[in-house]
Amino acid sequence: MWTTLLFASLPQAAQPLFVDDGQALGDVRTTCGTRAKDYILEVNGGGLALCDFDRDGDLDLLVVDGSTLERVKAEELGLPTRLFLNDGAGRFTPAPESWAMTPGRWGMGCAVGDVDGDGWLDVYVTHWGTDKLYLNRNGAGFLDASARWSLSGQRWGTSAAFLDYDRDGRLDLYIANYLAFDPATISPPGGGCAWKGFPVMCGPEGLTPLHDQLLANVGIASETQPGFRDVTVGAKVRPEEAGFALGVTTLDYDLDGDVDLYVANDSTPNFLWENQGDGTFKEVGLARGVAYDMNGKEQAGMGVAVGDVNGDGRDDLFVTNFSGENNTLYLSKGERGFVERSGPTGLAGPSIVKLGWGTALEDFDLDGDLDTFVLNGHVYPQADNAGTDTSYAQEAQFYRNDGAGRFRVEPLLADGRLVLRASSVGDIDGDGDVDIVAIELDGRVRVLRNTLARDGERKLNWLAVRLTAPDGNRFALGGRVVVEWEGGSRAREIRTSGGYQAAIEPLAHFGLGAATRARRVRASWPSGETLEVLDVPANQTLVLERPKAK
Amino acid sequence: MLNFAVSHHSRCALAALLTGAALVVNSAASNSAASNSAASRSTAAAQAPTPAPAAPTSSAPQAPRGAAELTAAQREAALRFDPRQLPRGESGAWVQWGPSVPPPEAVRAAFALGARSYQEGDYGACLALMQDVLRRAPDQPGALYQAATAYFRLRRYGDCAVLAERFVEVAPKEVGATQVLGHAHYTLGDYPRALEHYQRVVAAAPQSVEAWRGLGLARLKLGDTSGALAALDRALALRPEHADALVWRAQALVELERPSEALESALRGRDLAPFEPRTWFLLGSIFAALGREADADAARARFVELNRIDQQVRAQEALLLTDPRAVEPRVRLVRLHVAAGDRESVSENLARLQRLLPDNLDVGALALEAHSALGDHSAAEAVIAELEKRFADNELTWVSIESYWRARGDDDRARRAADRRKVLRSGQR
Repeated sequence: MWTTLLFASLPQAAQPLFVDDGQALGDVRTTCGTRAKDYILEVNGGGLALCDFDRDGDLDLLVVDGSTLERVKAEELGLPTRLFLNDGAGRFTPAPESWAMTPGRWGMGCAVGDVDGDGWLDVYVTHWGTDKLYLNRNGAGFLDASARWSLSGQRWGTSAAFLDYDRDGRLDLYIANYLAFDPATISPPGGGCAWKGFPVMCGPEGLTPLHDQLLANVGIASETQPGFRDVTVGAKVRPEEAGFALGVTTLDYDLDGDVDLYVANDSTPNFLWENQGDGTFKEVGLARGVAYDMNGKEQAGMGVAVGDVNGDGRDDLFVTNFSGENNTLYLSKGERGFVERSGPTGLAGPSIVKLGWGTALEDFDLDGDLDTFVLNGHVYPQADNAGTDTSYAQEAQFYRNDGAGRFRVEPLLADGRLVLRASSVGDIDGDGDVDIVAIELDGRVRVLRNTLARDGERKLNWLAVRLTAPDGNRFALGGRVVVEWEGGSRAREIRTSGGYQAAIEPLAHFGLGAATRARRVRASWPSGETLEVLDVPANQTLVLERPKAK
Repeated sequence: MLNFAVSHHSRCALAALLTGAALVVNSAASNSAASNSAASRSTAAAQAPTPAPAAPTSSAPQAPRGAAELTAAQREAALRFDPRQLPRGESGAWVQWGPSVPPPEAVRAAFALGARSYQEGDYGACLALMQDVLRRAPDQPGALYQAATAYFRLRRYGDCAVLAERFVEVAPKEVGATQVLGHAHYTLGDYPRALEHYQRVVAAAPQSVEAWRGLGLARLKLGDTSGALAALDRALALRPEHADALVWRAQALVELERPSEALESALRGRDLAPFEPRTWFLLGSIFAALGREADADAARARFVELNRIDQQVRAQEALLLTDPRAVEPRVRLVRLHVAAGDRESVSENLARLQRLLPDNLDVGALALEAHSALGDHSAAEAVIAELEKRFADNELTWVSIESYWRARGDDDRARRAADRRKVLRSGQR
């Protein structure tokens, strides 16, 4: 009974923390097939990245667009990925023509990293079709380097993540692949596939999952140098059975100094690829407790977020799932793996009738602990029929961490129900709190502005930390930052993988609550160097350069 | 309960199998659903009380001959209907109602047929008939209850909750039998409401095993692990052989970091329900927590093996939800349960098949194949005897029998079967 009383006694927030700022981007839309959603290819939506591509100090917005089967049948390319530059106040305008990106067949998601080590962030775009690599030409625009970097093959890539798995200073790439989709052979609408008694599009069950790929960066591509080499088999990142991969993230779950990978698979067990430190990986999802839910059931994983939810210094995992399944929080127990705590933390119950996609673990209310949100929306328009216990358009949810291990669910927006997909996060308007950008399926790209900093009554502080290096892995992906302040401490890892078809900026953001200074900031680079800074004033982005090796 | 298909105990089993004896199926809602794994196969028949007269009585008036007479359109319409639109009865109209009170004369036949449809797993027909009852006798409690449990079986938990809540409203004295409402809230993720309802049920019916179990699960989800353990212990005090409660008890003990006790509870659960993947999954975690890595690996391997089969089982069961008379999914279920070694489930599905296709050689041949694969030779030989008696003039009979004896290494009997097969074939020519 005490739990009932506890939940009942929680106050409701007067207004959602986020507002849909329709002016920030304008009417920018993406396309993913038709609204009827007759084929599984049409339901995942596009991708997003929030990164500073022109290095002017603010976050630019990259939007990956899709296509339609009519275009495919007409042998037309898909719609191009677009870049929107930030004016510094959180308003985006289309980037000049020099940033134009040649389209592929059907864009899905993206990864961001400095693949050629020149200090500028490059972009990898996954496709149903051949993926694309766009090199950043020193802030002057993008160059399609797909052919030179030896990208080939026709797969269905969803999410991707840059990482330096072999710690050679060059960024390698993990590509999450979904399934083999051939419009010529897949069952047409009404072809016998049903959900809750209603005819629906077919898949993923019954279709063939594709193996993911690990591409090693073997150096800057040239006439004689391939750039990427597929090392999936050699690095042992090839399980006996492939999964329907949708989300991916990097993390050092066992804190052994090398980067591991977590893959959210749809309807198949999730993967935890433990880096063995010798250029190979071992799949340990089942043994470490993150492959299934606590009932031993594989879930339909979509989005994934990483962060230290309970402040024990270890990264936890949060996975969004299908309707009828709860979203899953796996709390780290260190090398022993993880234990699911979705129910007691309040993250399970409110998620069961929803179908979750984009998510992140950030301190959105700057009170010193990590909150999360989930973008929801069903894959079947038929979800609006009677008796499904769910709906097609759904309310997006914000889960506020109460600091004691429980999350309280609130509406993310006042706008009601939407069909949302991928998200990216970052401080787009430079006001110190973390904002969200969301893909609405068959709709507008929505800029969801965090209103916290505009509330003058609250004096909440923050600190962002960026790690740099003069060469190699210049954005320090895989680096780690620990911030201690009066009343708390938190560890965060530097990554650009944004979970579901998305990328985020390589930066660690911390809410400090009422503390105006951080007592200590400790940083470690993937190459092993460390740095400690004491008594750091809050409300700034601290840039730490890699010290010279001793 | 007739339990032919695994009846290695009885030679008359096949005779019953092939002659269409009635099958009795428990009419209560599956209690396993509250484990949030409603798609999974159930491992034990539920014994929960039901306030609705679950089966027609001999005094029932003449009903339609069977739910099969309902048209596909009638079933479809019932499934598409929103139960919130059902008319409300007059306040207090059913105040005298109790489980022994039969439905009004005008709807008794429809009610009886609906209850029978439920028993046969034809939930669409059950809903069509119960909706008919509720239109003509608004809020009739038995029909409300039966329709609510049918919705639960169809995994329409919101609709289940609507009717179960209405049932509690019109028949509040019977709240002790409404654990299905707690299950519905639980499965929809509303753990506080599930908790609240389970508490009402156990207050009214402290002997309700499933309500105690549900209460334990709701508490576990809400982080009250000690309370969960206490509730699960109450369930087990009432029914010590409740495998699922034992496994959830083990889960609670894991969360309380008492792995040795958890192991004991999980092993008891495993012994009672050895084909439940979740038990092996949990055992893997418990062994790992105890540092018994080899045992953990073995448990995980068994989990993976059973889970792979269970996935396919769930897919077939989902097909049967909307088309309970489909034969192919049922045949696949038999073979899947054979692969898992689950004799009880093989038996259940063979019996269902026999009911669908009485006096059918293919069903007999499948039964022989299944018993043979399970090494259940007395049952297999009983099937052979029946096949020889009833289908001696069919070549398939002797193909099956020859194959069986060949696999057993009994060349003499295999040869005799082959000879019969050849004679039949030559005669056909």
